[in-house]
Amino acid sequence: MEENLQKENNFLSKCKSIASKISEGWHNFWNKPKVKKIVKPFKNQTFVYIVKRVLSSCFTLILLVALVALLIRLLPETKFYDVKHYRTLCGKDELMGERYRWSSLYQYGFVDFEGNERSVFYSMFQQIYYILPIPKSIEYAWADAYCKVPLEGAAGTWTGLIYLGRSVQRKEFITDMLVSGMGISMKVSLITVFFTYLISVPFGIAMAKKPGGIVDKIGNIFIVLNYAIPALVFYLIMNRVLGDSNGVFGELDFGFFYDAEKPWSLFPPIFCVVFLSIPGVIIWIRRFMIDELSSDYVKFARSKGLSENRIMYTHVLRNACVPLVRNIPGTLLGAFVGSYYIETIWTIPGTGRLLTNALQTFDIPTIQGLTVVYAAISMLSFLLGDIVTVFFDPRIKITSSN
Amino acid sequence: MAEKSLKNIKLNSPATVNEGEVIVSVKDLEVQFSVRNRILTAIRKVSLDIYKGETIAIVGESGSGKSVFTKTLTGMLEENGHISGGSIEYAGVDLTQFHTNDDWCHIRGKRIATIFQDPMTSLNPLRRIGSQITEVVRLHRGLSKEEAKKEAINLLKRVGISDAERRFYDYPFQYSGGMRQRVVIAIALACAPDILICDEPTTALDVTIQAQILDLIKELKKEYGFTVIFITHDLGVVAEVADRVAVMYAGQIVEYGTVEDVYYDPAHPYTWALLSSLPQLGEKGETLYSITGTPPSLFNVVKGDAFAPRNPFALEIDFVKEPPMFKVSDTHYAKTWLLDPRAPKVERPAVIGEISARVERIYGGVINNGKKG
Repeated sequence: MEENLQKENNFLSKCKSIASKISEGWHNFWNKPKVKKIVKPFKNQTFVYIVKRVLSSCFTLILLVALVALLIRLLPETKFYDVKHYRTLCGKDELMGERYRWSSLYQYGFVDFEGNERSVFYSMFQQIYYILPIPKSIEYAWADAYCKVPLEGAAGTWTGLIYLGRSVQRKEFITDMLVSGMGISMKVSLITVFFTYLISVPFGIAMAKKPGGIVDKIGNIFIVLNYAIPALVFYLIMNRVLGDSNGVFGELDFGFFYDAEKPWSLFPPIFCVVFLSIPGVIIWIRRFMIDELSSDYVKFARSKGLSENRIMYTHVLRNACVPLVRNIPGTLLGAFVGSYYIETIWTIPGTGRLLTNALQTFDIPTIQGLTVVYAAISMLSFLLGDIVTVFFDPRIKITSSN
Repeated sequence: MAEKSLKNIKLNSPATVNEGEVIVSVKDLEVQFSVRNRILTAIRKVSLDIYKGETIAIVGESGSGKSVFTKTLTGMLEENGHISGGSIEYAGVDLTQFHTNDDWCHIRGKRIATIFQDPMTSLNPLRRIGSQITEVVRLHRGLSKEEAKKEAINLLKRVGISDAERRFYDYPFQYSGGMRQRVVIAIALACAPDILICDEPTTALDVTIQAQILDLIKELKKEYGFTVIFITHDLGVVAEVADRVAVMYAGQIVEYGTVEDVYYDPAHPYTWALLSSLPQLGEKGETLYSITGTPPSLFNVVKGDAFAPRNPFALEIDFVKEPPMFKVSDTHYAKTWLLDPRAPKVERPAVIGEISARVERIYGGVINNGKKG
């Protein structure tokens, strides 16, 4: 009895000493200067915050993908193929009809090659697997609506990191669709954003300098009239007015449609968007400037003997910009998405029309893929907006604790 | 006629005025505001001489025109206000001819500096403390970047900010209220101004910080020798810092004189009322006096003495004719008909007689020409 107790005690003390050694070693390891040096940046509050935000965004994205996959599976199966066609085929040959059904459902990932039904969870996890950035190769087959080519084996293999799916209607990979349209969409949007700010910022400042003055009055009239114009009508009219080769601007040869060989044919769409987006920016610039101008520190700056222009540009403008810079990453990343109206009216082969077209043609994989991309863009713009704000406003600190 | 530019107008050097001579001479100043299409006369024919090197306190209730009066000295009136009459003579120039902010650039900050009430909002929240000081120094004194920085750090040290080299790079939000007011004072001092206007500089601060800031202003005044115009409604503060006091009511100066004159021998019924209602001078168990009624609306033309309707000592003539400034002594003037030789003898409220004793007791003889010790 005594012996046993002794043994037990010995054993316990040994355990304790080992545990303390381990903890000591662990402690020593983290306290080594070399390790400390490596760990130090990771302890930085801002860094930790950004990592946390990125991780939570990724988690949100995964949830979103799963949710969209689930919602799509909740639709009745008959939405995904032509029921009448299926019935007539079945009347002729049962196997033919089934093959038609399988091949259609296969494109949406609801059945496998053999025609076995896949579960909802399978679809959800498959979508998640697709967007995880790990090297993967995916076998795919284009199905034929009339099932002339039976589904025997894959038509190809896709390799890469993030698989966004393939369009059923266009028989193209969504990544390729985005890449091919991205260039022109970004070009149009970035030029638009640049000119919008280039014109509205000085205009807004001029208006804020003397509220109720002549510039302010003219500006307000312009804004009201501008808001009254329906965008689509304006685009269509401008398309006619600017593009007509026999019209007033005929000499300039803009044309009704975008022509890759004539870069100046982008002028009408850019002009239209700039014209219509100016008031939105002016209103905010003016409003924030006036808010700042009535604050006490401006009064004090005046009593310091600074000239009005100096106060405007070295004190007020920067402070007024703080609420605006938050939106800038979003605006720039939004350029990637393109504009539907503009790209439709001037037939610009950009990304703006992708989602709308996919919705109209019930192109489920495209909708899924684009949802992921656009969601990622919006989350990234929020994150970047927060980071940029921190750079502009020293009062704001981002910390991981809150 | 094209408006001539006043940017290059010649001002006399501050050295031309000797200690004790008139530095600012305000004559019949009238300021009007247009408020919702009605004219409000905020300052009604105010005349006052301010002497170099003195501390003059302007006291009065809210809306009596204290702030408006000092704002005219630096052209800081609100957009809807303008000087409708009178003159302000300073350094050989009539300041009422300046209109745009750019006209005032030479005077503001450089010759006449202002400290505002709320230090929490006086500084630009997004710029470093240092750059807000060097900005003024470089503008008015034309120093280089390095010199300006050295000067700014000296100023910060001078106003009692420890570790100034490091705090030079801090932002206002990293400073406490009292420290910010010190920075504001440092900025005001940056160009060694002639006149320092303190617009209720301690109202937004707590009592201990108040005392520190007042001491700092007094100390700096001794060192730099500037003239201080002190606006406050705290008569305790007046007793502590001022040499002379001007009492304002309804846009007029009703009484002015040295601190002793006004505290120990007040002549105007409004000053009596003001002193009687001082909580600091109240006795335990006594009901604190309060002035009945409200000040007159300055939208209307005030007939007679503006204080008459609230004045228990009002004479009939007070409702008819505006009293002139009567001379009580060489330094002491008051605007009341009671000083007219024809007026009946009026007994002052008993409290006023005791005030000197009370002040002596409470402030320990602080009122000694505003100079303690």
